[in-house]
Amino acid sequence: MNGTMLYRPGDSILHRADPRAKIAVIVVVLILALTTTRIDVLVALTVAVVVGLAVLARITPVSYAKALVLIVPLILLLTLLQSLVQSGAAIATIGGVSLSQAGVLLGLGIGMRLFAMGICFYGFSVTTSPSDIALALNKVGVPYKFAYLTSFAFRFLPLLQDEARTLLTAMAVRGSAESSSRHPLRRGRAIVRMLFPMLAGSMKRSGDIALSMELRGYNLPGTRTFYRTLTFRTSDALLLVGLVLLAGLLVGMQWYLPAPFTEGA
Amino acid sequence: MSTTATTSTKRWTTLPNWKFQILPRDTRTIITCVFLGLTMAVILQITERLDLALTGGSIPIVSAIVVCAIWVPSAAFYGLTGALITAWINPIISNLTASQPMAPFLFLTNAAHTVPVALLVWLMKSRDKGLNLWQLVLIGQVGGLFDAAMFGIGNRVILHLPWDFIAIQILIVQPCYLVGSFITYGIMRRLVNTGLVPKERREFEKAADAL
Repeated sequence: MNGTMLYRPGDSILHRADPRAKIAVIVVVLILALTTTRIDVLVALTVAVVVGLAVLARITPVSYAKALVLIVPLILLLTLLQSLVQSGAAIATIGGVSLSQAGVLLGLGIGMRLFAMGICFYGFSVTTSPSDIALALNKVGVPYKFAYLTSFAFRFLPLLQDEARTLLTAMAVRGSAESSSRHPLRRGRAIVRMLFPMLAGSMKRSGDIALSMELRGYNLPGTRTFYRTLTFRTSDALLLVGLVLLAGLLVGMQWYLPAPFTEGA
Repeated sequence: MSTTATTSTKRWTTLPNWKFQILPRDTRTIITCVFLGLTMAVILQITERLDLALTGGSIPIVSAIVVCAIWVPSAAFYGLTGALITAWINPIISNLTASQPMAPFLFLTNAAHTVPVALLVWLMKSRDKGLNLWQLVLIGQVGGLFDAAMFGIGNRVILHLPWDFIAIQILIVQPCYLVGSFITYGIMRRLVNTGLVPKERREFEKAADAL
């Protein structure tokens, strides 16, 4: 959540899994989460993701609880908004304003959706290195020149974070009250002021880096060879089979089980 | 008085010329765009917190002002290549740092801002001169409108927000994009003047003749 890379090297099943299989898992979880607002299905999906991460990657909820807490205000805001705009029986009336039951359930369902998606992405980020993502993208047909940019971006992200911090500190040292102001708009002005030096610095730096990359053969035509390659193993196939089973179970649950609560619009 | 007026007019006239290509593929352009995307990601990490304090994160006021100043120069100087790379670096970072629950959708919303900007610059910019202030404001506003509309669709699909709320959201951020376009104009002028932006060959010839 602090903008630093989450990847931690490890030896769990998910760490060793092919990134293409993990990308497939993410896509399926995303589709499952976005195609329903039924709270029971979304709770089941979230539980499946949490258990899957604990078993396959040894990532317990403790490690991502802090990240999830940050989504809670958004979920509360959404639930309040949905309970005000959705019609139906009122669950409570506060100061003459009725909060609809359907709206509250819909808001909580969307909250569950965000949890499922967030935990799934967290698991992917913790178990997949940027260089593996670049290799996977290259394997699925993205030219290496562009696929490599994923790991390249992560390599230089801390540098730019440092630069932003240095600029804000420099402004404060020179007596600018904006960079340390608690007022969001004044602080916004400080950010506008640091835009030009950051953009100019980025453009200046890229010239040297582009030259050094070209000298190392970044732009060479022809087939590229790799020191490390990806192999799709039996464990990856099993992961995909498990994913298909989970998807079938959740779709079946949605079709054949009656909804436990009345849904929102 | 007249000096002030002249300086002011000069400040808001046509930008100095630069070389625009719709699909540049050289290494320098690609790497520059990655750095611009990273700058965007770093700055958004700060502005998102400011928006959280201002509107609870529901309407990105500060972010809307700041994104113009990075996306528009990137798309205007480096065409569609710049537009797409700069737009997609931020969602990649957001996804892999789990910093945004709507991160997967940012691929679409960001591109919805930058791609129209690149296409409009391609249509409106002549080879002989840079863009006017009104052209840049128009381009920024169209990009902002597409961005806000796509963000609204995302809010509808993922968060099931009501259309009325989405319409208000879109209307509130439009003035922010307008303010952002004026800031962008100043930043683009300064960036072209630094000599870091690729120039037309004839500009070099003109400079050589002047020397």
